[in-house]
Amino acid sequence: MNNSNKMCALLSNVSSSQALRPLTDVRPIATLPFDCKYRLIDFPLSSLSNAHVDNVFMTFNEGETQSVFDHLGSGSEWGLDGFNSRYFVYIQQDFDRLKEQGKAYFAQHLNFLKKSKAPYTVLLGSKFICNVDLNAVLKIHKLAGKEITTVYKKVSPTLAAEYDTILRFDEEGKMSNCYTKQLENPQEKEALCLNLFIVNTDWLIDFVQEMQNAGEIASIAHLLRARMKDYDVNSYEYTGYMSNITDIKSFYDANMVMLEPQNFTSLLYSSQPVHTKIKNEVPTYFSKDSNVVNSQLGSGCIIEGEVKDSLISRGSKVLKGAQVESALIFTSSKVKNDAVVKYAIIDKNAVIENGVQIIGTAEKPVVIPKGSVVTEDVIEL
Amino acid sequence: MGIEMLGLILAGGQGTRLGKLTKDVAKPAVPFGGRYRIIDFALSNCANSNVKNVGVITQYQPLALNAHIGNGAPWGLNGVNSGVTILQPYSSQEGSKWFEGTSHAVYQNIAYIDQQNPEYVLILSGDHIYKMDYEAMLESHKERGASLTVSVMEVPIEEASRFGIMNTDENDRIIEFEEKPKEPKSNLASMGIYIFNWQRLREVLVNGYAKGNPMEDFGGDVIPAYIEAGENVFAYRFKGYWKDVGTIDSLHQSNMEFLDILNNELDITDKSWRIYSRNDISAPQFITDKAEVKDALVGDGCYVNGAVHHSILSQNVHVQEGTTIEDSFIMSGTFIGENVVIKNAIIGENAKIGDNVEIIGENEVAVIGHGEVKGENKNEQ
Repeated sequence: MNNSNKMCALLSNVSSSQALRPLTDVRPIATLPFDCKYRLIDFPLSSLSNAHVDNVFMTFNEGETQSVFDHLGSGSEWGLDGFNSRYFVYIQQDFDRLKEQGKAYFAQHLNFLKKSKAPYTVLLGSKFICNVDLNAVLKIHKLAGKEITTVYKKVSPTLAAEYDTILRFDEEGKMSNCYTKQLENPQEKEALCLNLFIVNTDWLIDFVQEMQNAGEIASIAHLLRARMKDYDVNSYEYTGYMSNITDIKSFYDANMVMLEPQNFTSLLYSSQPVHTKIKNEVPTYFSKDSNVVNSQLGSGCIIEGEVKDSLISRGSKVLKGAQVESALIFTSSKVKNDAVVKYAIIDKNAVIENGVQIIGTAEKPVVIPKGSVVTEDVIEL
Repeated sequence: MGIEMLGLILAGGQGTRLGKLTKDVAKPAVPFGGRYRIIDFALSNCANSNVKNVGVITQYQPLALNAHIGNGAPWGLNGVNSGVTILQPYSSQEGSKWFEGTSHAVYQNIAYIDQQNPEYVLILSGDHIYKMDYEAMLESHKERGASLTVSVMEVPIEEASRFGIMNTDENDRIIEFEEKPKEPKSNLASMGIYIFNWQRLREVLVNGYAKGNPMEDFGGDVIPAYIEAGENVFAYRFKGYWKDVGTIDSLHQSNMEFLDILNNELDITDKSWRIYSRNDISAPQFITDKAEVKDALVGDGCYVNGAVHHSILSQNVHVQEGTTIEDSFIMSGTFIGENVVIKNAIIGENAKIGDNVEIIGENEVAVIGHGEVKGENKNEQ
């Protein structure tokens, strides 16, 4: 077999944000629901799958893997269940403990990289929602002939969280980088690093070994971002749809803008299909009395009420007389008769009882936690 | 040691009464209900009834059917000790194995059945819409020490002359079988679902053909032979929704009945008896601010910018502005242009309906074939 274009991947899912609570009380950022049927991790996994990356090393935080295994299953939806294709899940805190004990904390990573026999390694995370063609990035990486290629998107620096990485290029094209919070003289648009890299695996093995010998922290993704300015780095500008999930508001907006056809088309109807967990749901039913406009819905919903400017996930119910507007309703939730939900995020399996009103604002949507049964109004204006 | 019960789905019917819809597609592979194919009901019933080994006997236009069934994974029939086998006619030293009738098709596949070595065989038809627990039927078969159990349902007596009618004694033992009797003595109609003790059926088939007494059909030859030979033949009464979708009218009617998912006796949303199907990746459905969707079932990946009343849109149907769809079943991948009127119709998969076209079934259901093109569309991608 010709291995010359082969890539393996390190997918890091350890970023966390207090500002996403209570949505992240029960799951990592990676499995936050998105646009009626996806989870954030579907985007990096689909990019990998579309580029035929068949060995993926994932790291998660301790205690955050339940929803991940539930979602990934055998990995078949992303082609990770073949003879030669598989995924591995590791816990970040195990590596931290090995480091504390003075042991070789990157041993698993090094083992994976060596065994993969892939000349290139993709490093990525799941908090930036984007649909990157990794084969295209690999071509540019090979043409440039440098050891590291990083992917960025030009955005307003206000979209970046304080520890996101901003790239700048001098007149000779030499790249430098800093955290958003260190940014001096911010411009209208800055190059936001999408924490996505393609590197030569041989170089990465040496880099990881070196970092371990020096006793650096046990996170390759973090080290690469911190140290990349010490190397000659090639860059790739991504021009498609991107959202940076940093807090409830950015998460809500990232979903809502999918109602604009150009975003929807750019992310979900490109030549790079986005794969997600398969569910056997009936098509969505709209009753005679329902009234649905400018909304997206997953399958298996039953809509008897009014839905406007909203995203309704698989298997949800909006019963008679209920009104849902500018809201995100996650899987298998129920908005019962005559209830009102506006500017809100209703997490999975929640029930809004008859006549109850949940009303927030576009700036501060109300979040109803997973599995809640809401019997009293929640109005936060 | 063989298996207890082998399922055999007869999927070889030409389905000529479905006209254009079965020109290139075997009848069991004809789409149904917005995301299913007809055979999904029999396959899902098998999976839900613990019948984990299934042979699907095909003959005409099997490509779509084979692609649909694949390794059986969508129905969970690809695990350890389970499997789906597609059985196609082939030429052997004894001559062609083209199937002459239902029991002849089983006779031609004796080698396969012997290899599975079942105690019982369950004979099913691939073109019925229903939910049924075959395990309960097997229990009844064993309890009564039957050699053959025929599943029957009560039909209105005035319609009984269209069916194969079973006349039974007070214990539901079948003492007479009449194919489409002019003056029916009972209203118990055969559903074409049988459980046989395999060794006995094998003898009857082999002896029949050896003695120049061809056993071509279960209804016409095998059941009468069993009754004449004094075998224990019992009726097993089924109650519930059951529909043979062999004609355009019945296909249209059963889809319109299916549409009423909250009241239909089939109870498709019941999660304890799911109907499974192959899943394609599609984005969520998009209902625009110009859309009007009432009393409708809409699948994933649809884009609806027009009016849809009392109709089913399967996956990835595109409906443009000013268009009205009423009392119709639209199969997947269909593109419908602007200002189109579709009424009382079935539109085949991947058809293209241009702007301003009218497809109206006046006295009978209008049918557009798979991939058929009508008119031109100025916006077509």
